[in-house]
Amino acid sequence: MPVTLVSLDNENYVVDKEVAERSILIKNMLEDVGETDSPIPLPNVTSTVLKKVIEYCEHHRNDPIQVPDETDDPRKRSNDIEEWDMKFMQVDQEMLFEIILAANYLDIKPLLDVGCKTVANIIKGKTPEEIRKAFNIVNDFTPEEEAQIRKENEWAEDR
Amino acid sequence: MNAQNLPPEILEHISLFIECRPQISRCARVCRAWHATFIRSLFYKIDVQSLSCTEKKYPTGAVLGRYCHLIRSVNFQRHFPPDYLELGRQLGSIPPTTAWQLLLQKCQLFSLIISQPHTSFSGFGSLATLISNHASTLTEIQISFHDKSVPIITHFWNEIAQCTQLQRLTIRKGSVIGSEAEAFTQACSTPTTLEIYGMSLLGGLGVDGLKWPRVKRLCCSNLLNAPAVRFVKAVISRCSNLKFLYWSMDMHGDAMRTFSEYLAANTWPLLDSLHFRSDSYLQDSELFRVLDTLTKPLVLLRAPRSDFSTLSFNSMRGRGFFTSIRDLNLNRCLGVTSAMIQEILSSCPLLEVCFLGRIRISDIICGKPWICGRMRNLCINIDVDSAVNDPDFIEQQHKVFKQLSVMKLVEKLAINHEKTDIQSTRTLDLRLESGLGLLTGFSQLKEFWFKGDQRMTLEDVHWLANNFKRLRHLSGRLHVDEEILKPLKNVLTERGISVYDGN
Repeated sequence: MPVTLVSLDNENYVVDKEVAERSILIKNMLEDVGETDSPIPLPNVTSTVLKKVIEYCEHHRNDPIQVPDETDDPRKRSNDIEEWDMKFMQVDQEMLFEIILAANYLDIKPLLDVGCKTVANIIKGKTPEEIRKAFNIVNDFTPEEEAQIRKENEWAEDR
Repeated sequence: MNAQNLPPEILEHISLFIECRPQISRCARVCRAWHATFIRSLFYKIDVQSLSCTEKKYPTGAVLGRYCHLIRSVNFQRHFPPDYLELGRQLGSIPPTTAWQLLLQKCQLFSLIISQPHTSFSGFGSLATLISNHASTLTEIQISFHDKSVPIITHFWNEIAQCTQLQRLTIRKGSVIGSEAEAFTQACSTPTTLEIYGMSLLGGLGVDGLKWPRVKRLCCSNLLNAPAVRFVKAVISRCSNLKFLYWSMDMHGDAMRTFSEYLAANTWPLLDSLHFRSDSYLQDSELFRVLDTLTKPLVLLRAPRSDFSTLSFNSMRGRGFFTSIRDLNLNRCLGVTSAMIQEILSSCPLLEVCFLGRIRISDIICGKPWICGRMRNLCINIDVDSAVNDPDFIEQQHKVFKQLSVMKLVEKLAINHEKTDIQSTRTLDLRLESGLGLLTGFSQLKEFWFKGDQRMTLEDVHWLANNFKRLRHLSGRLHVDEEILKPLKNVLTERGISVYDGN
């Protein structure tokens, strides 16, 4: 059964139910209203981002639903991104963060994970200044604050 | 949207994928928004250890004071930093212990792990205060003593007894003497899980009249002297709400008889999980008596190297335990036959963890379909009992793969783990042409173990890497030929999968 999704900018997308249900938010909405033909508005997602998200869900339509794993380390690995996902995430930063936000809003855990892993991989090995440069972040610490934080974190840094 | 104004919950999710402490620290220095998130990761768990190098790998007392509201776990190993106590002097004329209290009142401590304090260790007073201040939140205390001799720490035990939320108390080594006996027994009756390993008692401990209804899981092993064994026996009989028991003192003879008597007297109406250590050497008849006397349906049975055989097996089947058992370990039980293993895998729908012995391919093929779809960890020996050139061999293997394929949640799988003579080290042929492709649903598999030589091709190994998406470790020789083996191994190691092939 097809489902119609409506983006913020009023674009309609018709997708298979099992594709749409990769999103736990949509899955719950469909369960709440039962069988329905009425389109599902997604007022937090623009059409460019929604198109990308649907592409991801199409590709992963047959994946098993992830079960939360209590035995896993809370610290997760970021070096296990699949090849397809890696290519999928080769977008500009603006889009990368939009995808992450959409995955969070739509509750698509594997996509949220893969987006956050991609960001984590950009961070790895970089100094604070390099991180700021990579993400265009403004250093809003005063020099005194910066010195103090550096001093109190000394124990955790490399030697 | 950029990385500076991300919602905190997204930034926090990103922080989960940053593993090393130095990198977390560098992230905390990027900007204010990042500092607010990453500082939480940094102070979540603190390890305090004595190191041979002079530099400290834990925060100073002053820094700890500033961020103590973020701390959830502190691990002290062999060391209790003097400047954590000195803090009071820096602040003024407040006595050190009071300052320590002030310092930690703000932080919600859930877990406290203290490893190997020496006899000369003088921090128990501070630790007792620490525990006292967190009596309403502490859920876990583990203490590993350095050796048998331990200072008298009555007040320390007293504080543990006040921890109303304590779920787990673990005591390794050490000894308790008569004068602190009462405090010690009170402390032991506090948690829901009590673990005592390698303890000795000097003098008797009175437990008369005491009831321990809170303790639901009890693990005792390596008790070092007769009073300790007597103490544990007395304790066990008083845990009326016991669900899980791990007991390893000589189950033969006296202890086993005591245990059976307690069972027969319905001492533990909720008991459904039993773990007997492999050196208990239980007889089939003894296990049968235990299984036959249990009140609740059996959920967990671990009796490796025991004499588990027909009597016990029939009792499990007869009492309907096949439909309740979730965790079964009958590893190295010579009385467990291939037909029994086939029946277990085709009759126990709830099995999640299972260690069994040898099962013949012919029994798997002729037997009923396996129904253990919840299996997470399976360790068996699948034996090839037919000739390689047999024309039906490939078809037979397909059937075995089909049986295995029901376990869609399996995370650890060993299909031939025992060391045996050369003739019987042949197991399933892990090639697509033999049916490997039927395991396409093993998306949760993290560890895969097999013994014996394989003749896998590049295509097989690529398939394996692509389909077992969460695989982290593989133990086994992918190919008999060393030259062919190398590139096959590389396929896996390049994907971050560690490979052990016995070399």
